[in-house]
Amino acid sequence: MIEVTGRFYRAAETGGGSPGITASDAPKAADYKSARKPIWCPGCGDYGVLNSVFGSLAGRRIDPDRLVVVSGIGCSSRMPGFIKAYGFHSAHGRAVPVGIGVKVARPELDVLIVGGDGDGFSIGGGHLPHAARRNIDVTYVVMDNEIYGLTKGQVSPTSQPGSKAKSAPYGTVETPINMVLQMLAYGATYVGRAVASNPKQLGELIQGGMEHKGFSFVQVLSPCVTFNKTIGYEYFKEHTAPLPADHRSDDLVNAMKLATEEQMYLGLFYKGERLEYTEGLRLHGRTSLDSRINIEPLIRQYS
Amino acid sequence: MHHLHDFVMGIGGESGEGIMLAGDILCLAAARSNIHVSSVRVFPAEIRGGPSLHRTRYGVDHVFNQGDRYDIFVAFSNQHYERHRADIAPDATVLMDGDPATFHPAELYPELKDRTVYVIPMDQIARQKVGDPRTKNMVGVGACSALFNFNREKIEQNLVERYKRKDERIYLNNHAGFVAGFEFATASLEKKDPYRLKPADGEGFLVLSGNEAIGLGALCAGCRFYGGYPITPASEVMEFMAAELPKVGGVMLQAEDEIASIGMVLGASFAGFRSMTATSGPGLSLMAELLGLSSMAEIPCVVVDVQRGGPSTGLPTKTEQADLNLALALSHGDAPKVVLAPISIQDCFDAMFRAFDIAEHYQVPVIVLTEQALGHRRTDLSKRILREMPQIEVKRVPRSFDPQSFLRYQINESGLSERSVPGDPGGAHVVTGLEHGENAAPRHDPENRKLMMEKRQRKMRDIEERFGGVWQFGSEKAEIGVIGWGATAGVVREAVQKANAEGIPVAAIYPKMIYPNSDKAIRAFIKSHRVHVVLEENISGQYANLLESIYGAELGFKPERLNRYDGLPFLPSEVLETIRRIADQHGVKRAGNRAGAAVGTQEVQK
Repeated sequence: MIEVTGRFYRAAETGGGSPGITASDAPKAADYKSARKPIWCPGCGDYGVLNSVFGSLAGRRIDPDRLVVVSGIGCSSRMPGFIKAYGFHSAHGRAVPVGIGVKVARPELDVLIVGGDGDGFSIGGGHLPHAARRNIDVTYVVMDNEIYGLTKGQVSPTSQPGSKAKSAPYGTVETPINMVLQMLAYGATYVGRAVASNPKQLGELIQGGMEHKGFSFVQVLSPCVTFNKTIGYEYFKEHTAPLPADHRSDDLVNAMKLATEEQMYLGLFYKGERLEYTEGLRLHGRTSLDSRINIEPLIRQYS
Repeated sequence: MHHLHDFVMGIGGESGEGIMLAGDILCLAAARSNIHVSSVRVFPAEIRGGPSLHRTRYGVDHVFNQGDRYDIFVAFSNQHYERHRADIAPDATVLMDGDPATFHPAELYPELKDRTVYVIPMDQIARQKVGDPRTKNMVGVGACSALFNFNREKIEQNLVERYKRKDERIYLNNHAGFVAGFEFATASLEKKDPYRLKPADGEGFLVLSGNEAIGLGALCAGCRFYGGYPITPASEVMEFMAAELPKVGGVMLQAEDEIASIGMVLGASFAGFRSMTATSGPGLSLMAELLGLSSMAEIPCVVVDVQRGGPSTGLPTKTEQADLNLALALSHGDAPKVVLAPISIQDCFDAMFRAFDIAEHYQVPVIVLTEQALGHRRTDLSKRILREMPQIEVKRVPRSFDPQSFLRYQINESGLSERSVPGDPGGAHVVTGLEHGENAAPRHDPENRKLMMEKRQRKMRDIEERFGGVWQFGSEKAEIGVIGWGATAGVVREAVQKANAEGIPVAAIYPKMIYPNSDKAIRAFIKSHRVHVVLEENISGQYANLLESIYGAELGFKPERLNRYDGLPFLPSEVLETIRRIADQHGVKRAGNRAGAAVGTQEVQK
């Protein structure tokens, strides 16, 4: 069990990194590793994502007792079980509303939502515009392998046109979703993309998302080595490139333009400022938690 | 003149004429005079235009339902009289708009020859005397105040509260309309009808709709998160919570759909908040999967279903009790859950305390079934319900548990495991909808599966023991036993009372909790009555089927069934008629002339 030693960042109390912590005291990735071993196939991109998550939690000095990792259903959605923190492995497609419920109730908690492309952009796709426009302070990491892995190989909403899978033996005729473009259009205030095989960039993006006050989205190109062999590490190496050096992350229009290009760019597409949801609730009159109901005004209102 | 203090009054007019406002003002004036009320507003199905109807029953004693036919009907025009003439009692009093010099209603409507009719130039007074045609409704209110003793000062005070600070001119016009109507009735109408309200002593009543009582009950029971999605006829619960929750540190979040709203409820509940949503049939259908998750992962939640006519979009503005099967099934798989069905507006308030206590203590989903006819009906409640309610402490983290031995799903005799919430040091765990072991990690082996299924199911035993029970009306030794559930209780109670007064030995029983079944009390009731009737507002007899499946073979339980499924609630007269018919069919002896004395009416909580 985790001991609270004061080593962890307390958003509600300090509003910044805890002072007086020496480098040797700082949390390490191992502080967040649960006893459960991942169930993923050897070579799965999600191992790299998990390590990047550990790194960013340590880098951010997140208190595991005040962290909630929420997921839906799918291979990547098993991730909360491998993290030593509070977790909620919910239902297929519903990670985002569950995570919002946690954050809205208790804004002082850190909420990390994880899942796959089918979970997030197929069955759960209807929740994303609303999470983004609310600009609620959660970080959503989607591991995109362009396939349904847990159900053993059906096309997903991000499968390439013409790609063959068990549910599309003659090749899919559907156009894949462009996650980054969609999330930019939905109004997410932090949008990035990375590959699972670059833990440094991915870790920085996730940590940046957790630091960002608002809805943060990170797409991770995370290969499925079992059911989608054509879209592997090599494929991503060939088809990706760093964002152009002159791209400014506050330029939404340019971010959208870059997101539409053939080349899949990696990095922070966009970071903008907008009123965060729970902060907005506070500004619009939400008080602190109270047991007592002021009954006399209610009696007047209804009599 | 002999006065009648209990009556049903209808006001019918075109939407936009302020019918609902007129009815509400009269209703509130009565409640402030300690007169009991039961009131419904019938809106047109269309968004704009069409007929509006306000219907209130007034009484010196408690009124438990909306009553039968109209004793007084105020028609804002002839067409609205025509629309409702079949529902107007033979000895009713009718108020009609028109010029008393030229308009003689009985010439147009022969049935009015035998009734008291007052012709009031409502439209004309509003236009000519007040100079504002929109005050026609206030002219009507004024006339009713003078004729039937709705307290003048209380109405004038209400007009001040409603308008004076908002808009002085609107206030003055409405007040002038009210006074003009009052003075016309005083000066020009000779009182010929027997209806006259009788004010009583006291501090006045609250007037709440079923939906408002649900919201108020939830708020007082410690609910601090509400995930909502608009749906008729449940939206008023969401609107109440939107206004009240922020004041006590809570949140009402209007979600993008019902799946999201229940997802948010589970998230907030996992985070330690008492959390709920309210919806109607279509929404409950959408929530099914996540309610199964609530049951499996043992995360408390309360879901109110204000039932409407189904299936599909059905009858959004009408009433039905046809979601019982859905609530009992709840989700795929065997998912332990609790189903409550409040029997009155007071019980809507009370039931929310039970619902949250059960949900939190037993870590289960609790479904509260009300219906449109209850959610939209308004009635008086004592102010004491708020002043004397139990104080619920909204708990904050951290909670007490031993981090060294903490197992989120520990198997034990009660089936109840300790729960930690985020922020509790040492309580970290990952809940899941997968089958899991005591430490919450997924497990698929048959041994564990069996133990966990039994652990979750065991909780039901204790819930039945602690929260099971019934309400019972009517004579104890009655031959006829009526069984119903939910909001029909108000009608059945009156029908039983009247049948008892006629000497028919009949009693009725309503479960406080439908699932788990309140077996002890219902079994005893079935055994102690010879003839049984199950009454519900659905076509297939969902509750009757449930009870037959439990008691049919064992007790030979094969009840008569009374089902209504036209979208309207039962009327007291129709239930009374059925009781008479069944008494005759089954050769039930009446208790002679000592009506009511031989067979008393009582209410028992078991």
